[in-house]
Amino acid sequence: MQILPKSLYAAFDTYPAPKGAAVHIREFAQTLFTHTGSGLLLVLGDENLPSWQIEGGMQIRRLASDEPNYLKRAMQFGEFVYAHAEMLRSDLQIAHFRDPWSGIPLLDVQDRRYKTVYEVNALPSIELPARYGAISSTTCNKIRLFEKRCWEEADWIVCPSQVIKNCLTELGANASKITVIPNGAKLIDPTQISLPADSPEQYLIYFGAVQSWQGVEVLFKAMTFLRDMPELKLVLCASGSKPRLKYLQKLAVRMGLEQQLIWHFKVSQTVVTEWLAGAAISIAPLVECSRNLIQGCCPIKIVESMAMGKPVIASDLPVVRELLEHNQTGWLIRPDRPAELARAIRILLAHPQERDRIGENARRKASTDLTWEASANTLKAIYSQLLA
Amino acid sequence: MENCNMKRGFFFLRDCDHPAHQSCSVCQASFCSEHLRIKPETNEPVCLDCLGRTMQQQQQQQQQNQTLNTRNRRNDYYDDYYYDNAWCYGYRSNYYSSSHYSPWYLGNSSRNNSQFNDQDMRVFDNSADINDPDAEAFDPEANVFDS
Repeated sequence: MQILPKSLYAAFDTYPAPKGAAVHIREFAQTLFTHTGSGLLLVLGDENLPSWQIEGGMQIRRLASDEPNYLKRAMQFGEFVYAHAEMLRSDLQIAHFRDPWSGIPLLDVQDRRYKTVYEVNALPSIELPARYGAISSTTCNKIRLFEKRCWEEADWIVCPSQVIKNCLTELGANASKITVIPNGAKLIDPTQISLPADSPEQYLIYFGAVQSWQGVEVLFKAMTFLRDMPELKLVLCASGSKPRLKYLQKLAVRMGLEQQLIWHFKVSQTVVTEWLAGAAISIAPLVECSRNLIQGCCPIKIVESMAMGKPVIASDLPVVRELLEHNQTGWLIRPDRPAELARAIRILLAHPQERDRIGENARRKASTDLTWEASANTLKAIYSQLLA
Repeated sequence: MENCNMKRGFFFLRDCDHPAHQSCSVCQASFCSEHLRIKPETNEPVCLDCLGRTMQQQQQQQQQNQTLNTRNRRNDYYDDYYYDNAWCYGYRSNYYSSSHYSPWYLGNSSRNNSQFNDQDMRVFDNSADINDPDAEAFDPEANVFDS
């Protein structure tokens, strides 16, 4: 017998997917559904994923849309969310949403009994211009109105970094109802992981999505300064849109990096873990742009590397400083400086004991502050407070 | 030729892309045959929005008067041909007015600044996405990031 869900988690994102956002969705949705006893996850799907599924006690409904236009697809998803929320309005206790496309419909349901939580990992009004260069300020302002309604009307707001909280507060959100819950990771002992059979002797790793703000181009440029180390490879476990991935591959060829790079596209979390376990250094070369500086983020790639005791070289940005301390739990370099990045790689490769020390410090910090259990406990306390 | 003025959808409204066939005798706007009904007693065309609204109002009035239930009192005007989906339009209109809800409009006619129009939409067409691999390319020899 199918149990009516008591909570709903909506995300305008494909789930599962080989990127940090999918891990975040899984962890938070499971926390919510465990707290309320049952739940429904509404996400995007594709031709390979079932439209309805029960997985690990989680009921998942996916909208498989072939609409190529982002905004129209967002509207379709809104209708999809609204239809479910309207049907379940008397049964749901909590509706948790990750974006305004899910949030507005959830807030619009009449006579709803559920409380709402807005999880702000990103603001489309800030991120979309990076992807769609032709977007006008008028369109952005319209999107901002939807976001504003979400942070004004949601009963609670959670976000993964202080930078995002500051951004929301400056935009007019009520700081007293915002809780910062950093992303977490599962602590893994790399010595217990069997490394990929074809892994090179020594390699760096970049893993995760490859949007323009991630700084993969900076890393490529840095690799050109390391050509005197032919044995050193860069493994890229990359996910992203086909055009973007194609562009980066072509760029790597143009920069003469074919021999230095090992590509893995859209691989599973397990494969990423295997590659991370054998890496000497993990790189997070975030770009100094409004998405990272003003909006903020909490890169899961950094948190997961820390949880495995891997030293991370990352851009010195406020969002990164929330996670890493230079020469203690990580190695920070000025953003958008490939030569500086290359120098940092050389230094850490030349000093394995320093690498181990930083990695161990990072693992210790992750074990105390950055676990999914800690995030879940904070989230559960918010749900309890809302339902009290 | 003018297009039908009916808005499709409930939560997100879109333009009906059929050509207009006749004008509604109540609101005077033009609609396609799918969105018009002919009033039997007067032979006048009425759009589904106006028809639905009238039905809702009559229903509410009947409920207030505590008379027989609406369906039993339905007269010929609301035979199956009229009743088919006009109630949806009435429900929609009633929903908007009673909940003060303003639906998102995804069409061409400009209504107000908070709604997405065709111009907003066009930016997000696939062709506007990064489909040119060279679109973001920079000269690999130029040390642009090493300022």
